Amino acid sequence: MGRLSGKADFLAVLEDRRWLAPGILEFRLRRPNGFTFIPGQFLRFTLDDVQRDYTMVSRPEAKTLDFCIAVVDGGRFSTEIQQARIGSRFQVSGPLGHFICQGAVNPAVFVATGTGVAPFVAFCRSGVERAILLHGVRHPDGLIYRNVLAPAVQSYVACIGTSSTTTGYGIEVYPNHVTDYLKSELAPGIYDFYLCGRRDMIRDATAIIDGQFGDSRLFIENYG
Amino acid sequence: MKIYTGTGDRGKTSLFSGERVSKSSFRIEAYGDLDELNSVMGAVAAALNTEHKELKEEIQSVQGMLLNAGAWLATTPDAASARFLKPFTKDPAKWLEAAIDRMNASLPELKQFILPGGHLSASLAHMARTVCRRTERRTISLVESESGGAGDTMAPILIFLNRLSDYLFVLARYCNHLSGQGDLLWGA
Repeated sequence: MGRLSGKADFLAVLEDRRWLAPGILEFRLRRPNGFTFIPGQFLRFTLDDVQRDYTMVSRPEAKTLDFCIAVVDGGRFSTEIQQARIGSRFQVSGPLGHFICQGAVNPAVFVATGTGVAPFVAFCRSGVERAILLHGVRHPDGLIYRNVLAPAVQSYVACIGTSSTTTGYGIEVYPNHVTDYLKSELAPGIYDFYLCGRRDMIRDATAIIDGQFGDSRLFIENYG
Repeated sequence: MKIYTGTGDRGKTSLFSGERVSKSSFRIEAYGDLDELNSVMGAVAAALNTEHKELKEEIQSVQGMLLNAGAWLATTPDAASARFLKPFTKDPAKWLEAAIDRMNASLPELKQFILPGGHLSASLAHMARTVCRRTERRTISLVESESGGAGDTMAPILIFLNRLSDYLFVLARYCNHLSGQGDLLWGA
């Protein structure tokens, strides 16, 4: 395959696949020669009439393009990626998206729910400064890439809204939602907020940021 | 993909460069007017008869330039997000000048004031011209309200907007010419 620059359409080869947690799969595609991206960008996968966008969690210079995907019962693409033979080819286009690290203008607060943590994995693997990361999950198994994220940020906060305790998971957790942390725990200040996750989290977090952190910047990636 | 996010329900919105600003801020006013201008341009194209395919395509090219200008208006100077934007140069203004000259060559010399009106496409082109002038004024207000690099970024856009209102004046006359009814002269 020839050198790729800017957005391109190409066939990418499935190299590997592993379970990160129950219901969360990581898969790896061979990175085409010359293909590059900015951490936080995504690839668009086309399967017949279905299109799905997945953010690279790998570093731009890695040999593979890595992605994590929440496997959905009956989901067209997640079923396909789960069952495809290694060596299968996928029609993709990219890199796409503007959700990138904007530089250390203000302390960064990364807020993710579920697999919405993907762009922050890419940020952290490429190096971040003065960042706080809030990862909201329903179950501690969902705290994927914890070993990558926790050492890279100033403060890693695992938010488990369904938990009644702060201990017992091998790490300390905040037993409430990411939005509760923003509202009650985050020190007043001016931040660069990066939100990636479910629509209701983004809506609620934005309301809190507008109300309590008015001069901050806000970058949003909606994960459905 | 759903269109609504609910993040703008309290009177604020996010710029492309990330800042949360009031929906009544200079920047939002400016690109809101630009959006309105682009919509009226679409109406001009829609009002043209089907045989004027080339002119419709020309108007759609201008609409693309307006989208590019809008992206710059939604981005603060020196923002990291600016790397995703297509550079806005003086070329669009030059392109408009060539289009103005081309249309003017087939129009009679103007010796008196004209009324904005005539064919629907011409009337809409006049409306677009007035929205364009307002967009230009708002963009100047934006530049004057901000210290720093806004003026450098906006300079080619201001030239473009100034030329675009000239283009729209000539386009209005040209639309009346194409419709066969000519200018609507002011008889006073």
